[in-house]
Amino acid sequence: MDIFGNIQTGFATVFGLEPILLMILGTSIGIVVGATPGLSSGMAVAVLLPVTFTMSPLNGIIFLISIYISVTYGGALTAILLNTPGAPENTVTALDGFALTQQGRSAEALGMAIGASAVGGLVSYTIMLGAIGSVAAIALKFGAPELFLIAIAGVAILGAVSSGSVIKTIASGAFGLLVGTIGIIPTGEWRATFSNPYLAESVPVVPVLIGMFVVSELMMIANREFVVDAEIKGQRNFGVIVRSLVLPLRHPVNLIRSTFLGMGIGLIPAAGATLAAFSSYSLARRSSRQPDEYGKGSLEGVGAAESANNACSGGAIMTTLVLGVPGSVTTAILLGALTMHGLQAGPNFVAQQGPLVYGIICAAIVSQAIMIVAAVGGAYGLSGAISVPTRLLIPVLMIFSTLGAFALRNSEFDVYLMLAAGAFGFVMKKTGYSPAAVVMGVILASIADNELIRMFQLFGDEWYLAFVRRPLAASLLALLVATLAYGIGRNFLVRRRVAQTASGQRAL
Amino acid sequence: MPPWIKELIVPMLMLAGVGAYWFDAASLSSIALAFPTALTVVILVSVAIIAFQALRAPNKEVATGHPQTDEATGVAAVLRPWSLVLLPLPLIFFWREIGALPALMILAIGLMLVLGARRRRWFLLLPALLIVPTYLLFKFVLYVRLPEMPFGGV
Repeated sequence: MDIFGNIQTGFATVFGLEPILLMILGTSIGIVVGATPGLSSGMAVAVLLPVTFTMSPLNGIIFLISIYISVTYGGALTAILLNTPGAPENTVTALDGFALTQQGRSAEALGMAIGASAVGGLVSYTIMLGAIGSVAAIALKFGAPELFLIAIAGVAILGAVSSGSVIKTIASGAFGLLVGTIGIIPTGEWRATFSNPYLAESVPVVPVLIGMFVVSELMMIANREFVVDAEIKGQRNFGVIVRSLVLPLRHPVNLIRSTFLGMGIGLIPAAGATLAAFSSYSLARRSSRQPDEYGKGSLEGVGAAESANNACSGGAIMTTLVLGVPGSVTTAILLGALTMHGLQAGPNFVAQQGPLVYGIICAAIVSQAIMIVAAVGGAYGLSGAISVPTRLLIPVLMIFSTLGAFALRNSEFDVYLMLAAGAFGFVMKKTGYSPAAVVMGVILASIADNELIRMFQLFGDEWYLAFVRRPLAASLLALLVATLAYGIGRNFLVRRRVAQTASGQRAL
Repeated sequence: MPPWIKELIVPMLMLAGVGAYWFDAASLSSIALAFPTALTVVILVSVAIIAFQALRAPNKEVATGHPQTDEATGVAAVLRPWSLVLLPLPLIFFWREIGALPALMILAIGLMLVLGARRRRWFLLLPALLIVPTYLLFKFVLYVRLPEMPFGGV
């Protein structure tokens, strides 16, 4: 069947009662999961996988993918309203989203995030319809040197976008990377585990994420009566949220660029939506006419992050289906769901299972519309959370966080890890450091470390020449150096300007 | 606390972490230590620069970059945030003996008291409406193996 026939069949299949109901259910679950610290898309998809046993392969995958995609929407809501991103990919959304909440503009931020996510997802999956057949060649070009540089870039970008001290962000990122190298490595050695079996699989990301973002933020607001000051609390406005859905269209260049960047990064196995969000945010800031607004409440920044992290899911699913290579726990479970139904993802999957593949993509496109409705409802409902006194909000979120950290491996060690990360994150926030950089480092360390070890094994003593002999790696290296130099240079100029202004004022 | 000491708290903690890392990992192969070595160098250089900047301007206030900086004073205000990480510790340590649900209820009520809740109805409503359903969600829907209460029970 040709591509147009497949697309037609795909849409026809999706517009049935059962698929639509499953998309609505999956989307609702995904948004709740995304908004709740301690719950992840992997957890939700893993728990609900057995539910799909009795469904047809298409309906089962549609249900699970709806959850996977909508988690990012849900995570943005808490990132903006409470500065507690529900998922790692919403971390950068919190930078400007929460600043907007403190300015009484949470409804605009929510509308922008939902609208940008919808456009990012819609464009990404629409491109997938036409491009899925030729994607494999692009993704296969990324080898060990390229993946290593991408992982390092994910942390270095934070230094470039940081509105605070670049050197503190670099230190935080390097420390996070070092923590992330703990565990058993490909050579079989136990590295810095202190013979603790809970560290053998490496430091788990979820407790560190919950501690660094949720617990530390709760500690920061413990002395406040409400999350934000009373005079700017009254910003729960359904009309503003809905009207703000079209805000992304006022920044078309930013939107298109972020979407394509997110989709491109999603094609790379294991790169992840977090990297997509940070990369897009960094690029948007450098291209912006108001770069100084970033980090202080830039709607553009929120849009860049959210369109990229949602577009990334399209690229990630494409890689999963076309290459059979999952980029995350959740896409690995999706692959498991396909296997459970007797299907094998890979380069021949599209040719052999065209109607199924195009049905999945069409469902993802239709889901975007459902997600807008569910997310707007969730945003309006959750907006009330900033009116809840902290003496009630904090205990509830601490319970969720404790259970969420424990749930990963049924281990008290992870709860202790979460609490330690929370304490460290609190001290970092109080002294101008970046917990986001630490978490990013922990997430990306395994990619960087494993790819570096592969480079030693592939290239021997001349491993470092791979960075210059391979055009793609050389380009990425140049971009990485330029990004770091830009960040350091900008920081230096800002400090000099501040010092000159201060000495000028003293002279007066 | 003088600003320059505040500036050095996180670097000192990072150095302690790096020291602990190398205490256990120093005997590994060169391949295993290549990446950690590079990262350690970056951390040491960064910490040195931060320390230099802090000591060069010892009275320069720390820029938190966090909009929620709260300048509450007094012992209670300082201890309140730390109660969020200190209160759960003994409860999690002993929850296999007392059960997860009682431990979580004690944690929730303890935190509410520390944070200033005084209305009695909230001490009943919050556990009943939120803590118990959350516990049931994790235990019976997500199949998390939470410690049960002694002598049977949930």
